[in-house]
Amino acid sequence: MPKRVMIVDDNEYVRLSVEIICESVELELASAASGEECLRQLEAGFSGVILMDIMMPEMDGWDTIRQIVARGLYPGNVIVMLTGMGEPDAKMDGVQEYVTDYLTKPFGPDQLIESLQYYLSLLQGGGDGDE
Amino acid sequence: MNTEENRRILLIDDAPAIHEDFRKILEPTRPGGELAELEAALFGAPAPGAWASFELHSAYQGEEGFALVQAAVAARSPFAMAFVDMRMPPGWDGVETVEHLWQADPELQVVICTAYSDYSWEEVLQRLDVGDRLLILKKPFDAIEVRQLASALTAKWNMTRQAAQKLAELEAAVESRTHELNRANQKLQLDIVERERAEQQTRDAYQRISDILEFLPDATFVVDENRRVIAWNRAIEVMTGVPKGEILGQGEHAYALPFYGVRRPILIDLLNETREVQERLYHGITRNGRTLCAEAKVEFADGAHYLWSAASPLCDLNGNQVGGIQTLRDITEARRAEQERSRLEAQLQRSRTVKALTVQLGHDLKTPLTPLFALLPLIRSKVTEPGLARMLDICQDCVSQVQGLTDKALELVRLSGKGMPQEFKRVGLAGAADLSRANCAPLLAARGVACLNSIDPGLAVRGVEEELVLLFDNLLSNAARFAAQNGTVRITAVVEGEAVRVSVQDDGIGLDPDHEKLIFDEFFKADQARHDLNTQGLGLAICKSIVLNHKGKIWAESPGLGLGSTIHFTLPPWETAEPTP
Repeated sequence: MPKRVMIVDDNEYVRLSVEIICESVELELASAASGEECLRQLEAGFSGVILMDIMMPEMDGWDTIRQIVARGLYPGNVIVMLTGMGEPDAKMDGVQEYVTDYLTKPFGPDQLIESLQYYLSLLQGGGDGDE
Repeated sequence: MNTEENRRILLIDDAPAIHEDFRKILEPTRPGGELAELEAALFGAPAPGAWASFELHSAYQGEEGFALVQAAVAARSPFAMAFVDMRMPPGWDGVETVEHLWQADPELQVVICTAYSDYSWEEVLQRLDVGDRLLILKKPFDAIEVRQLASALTAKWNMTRQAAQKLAELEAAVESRTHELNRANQKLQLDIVERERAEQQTRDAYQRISDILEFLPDATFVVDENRRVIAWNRAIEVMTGVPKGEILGQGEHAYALPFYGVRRPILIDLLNETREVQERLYHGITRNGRTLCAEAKVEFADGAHYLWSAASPLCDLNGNQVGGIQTLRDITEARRAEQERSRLEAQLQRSRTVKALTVQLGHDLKTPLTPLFALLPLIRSKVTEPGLARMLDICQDCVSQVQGLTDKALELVRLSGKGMPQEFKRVGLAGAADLSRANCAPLLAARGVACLNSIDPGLAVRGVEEELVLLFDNLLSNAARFAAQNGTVRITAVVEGEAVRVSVQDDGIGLDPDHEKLIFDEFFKADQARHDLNTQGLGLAICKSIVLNHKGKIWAESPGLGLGSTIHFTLPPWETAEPTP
């Protein structure tokens, strides 16, 4: 069964928590500690729901999306941003259209599972995430 | 004046023999003759050349004599005198001839020679304007008579001519002098007028300068070269309380007294001092051209004042210093405003730092909260042992508490950071309250609190709906928490003047009067709330930020502890801005 969800976050505990929750519902998770790693996995063939942290060192969430789009890796993926607070960010201009939803940190296991099921349904429906 | 004497004599007589006689008498070419001897015997020796000094001309008729006189006058060589015979047929007689001669030459001295009279002398005198120009010589005459007449009358002619010339010269001199005097007089008159005008202008200019000085808004005084006060304007009277009557004419640094209480040098005394001396008395003194500027702190009756001052020398047209002028401006208010501005800027800077720290802390907390939030429920679901389960519940509550605190802190920062004017829209007040009532329903239900929304459904305000719902959320969750068990929360709104006043009233624990203002401060909690783990103490601070963003006021009222409390706030009504679309 191919992995259909990727967590992109520089914090190991956040990645592990998401992994544990996914395991609890037998959902296999790809894990990336940086924007570059996310891009590598996409280039290696990953396709699915990408949970993307915004604040990361080197390449932040917005720049990672820019690269995804620039390298033609966007189709077939749903991008969900993990945010501390839904406040506007000057860097999001121009890439917002590629973001399907925002998930506010911290989130409980039930909330995450519910959300993931919804995003996965968007993929199964053949949608590419655009609203 | 012609210095050469005129000895020219004209003889007019129809008898040639007479001419011969006269020539012998008046032109004696043979000195030492009989006549000369006789004369010498009578008058002593004559002056050498005296005999040769007459120049005798002859005419034998009146008309001829007249022509000679005319010619002589024309040649500017007139005759001094004429001897005229009375009877000279066939031409003019003596009187007529004389009349003509005087027409030609009024100065001519005349002797009429006659042996007898056809005219009475009275008649002659009537016909002629004789004056003193006519003598009569009766024939037969002596030689000496003729000579003496000739001598006397030529001398008289010359003297008359000289006198006339002298008179003419005198008259010319007088006229010239008079002219000069007139010119001098005219010039003097002009000078006087000019001077009066200049004096008037000077007086006017002085008055103008005095008036300008008097009504200058800045306190100003002027000193002369001896540093005695010669002007003290109204503004400085007001500033110092010293009327000009008390200080004008005073020297010895009297002008320092109102400012420093002692006679000491002030700015105006430092105009010609060295930089060192200036700096010693006034720190930070500046020089602009010949003007000195400085700031000083002085004590007046009502306290400390900051004065900004400028002093300048006053010079005459030659550049000599003849005094000085100093102006003073009370900059106390500006200075205090500046201090207040600095204080506020520092406060703002601190506030920005706090905000930045809060935002950073908030975001940093979110990251470790995420695994806790994600994993604790999973662990709890696997635990069945009651003691362990209780401990995990406590951990879960604490994590929720930290999360709530973080959210509210970030929200408060976000709201209070809104310095920009927001776009206000029409917000139905009752609807916003209802949305919030729904949001808080679980909390209200938990304590059996009833919430009554009595706001007129048609009442609208200008605002940001999302913020107003958040405002009600905070107030209702507070009310739900502090209302009496199974109590009531009432939401009402009235239009008061140009504002809508909204009130949220509960029947709960009430407020200590001392806390009525403090409750809007960040992290303030009344004692009982400090033990309540479900509140962050930021709710009312957020409410305050939202109301301030809407240019309203928020305040609390309570009859006292245990008697319930009411939070009031005002919002701008929609009607005052523009017609409802």
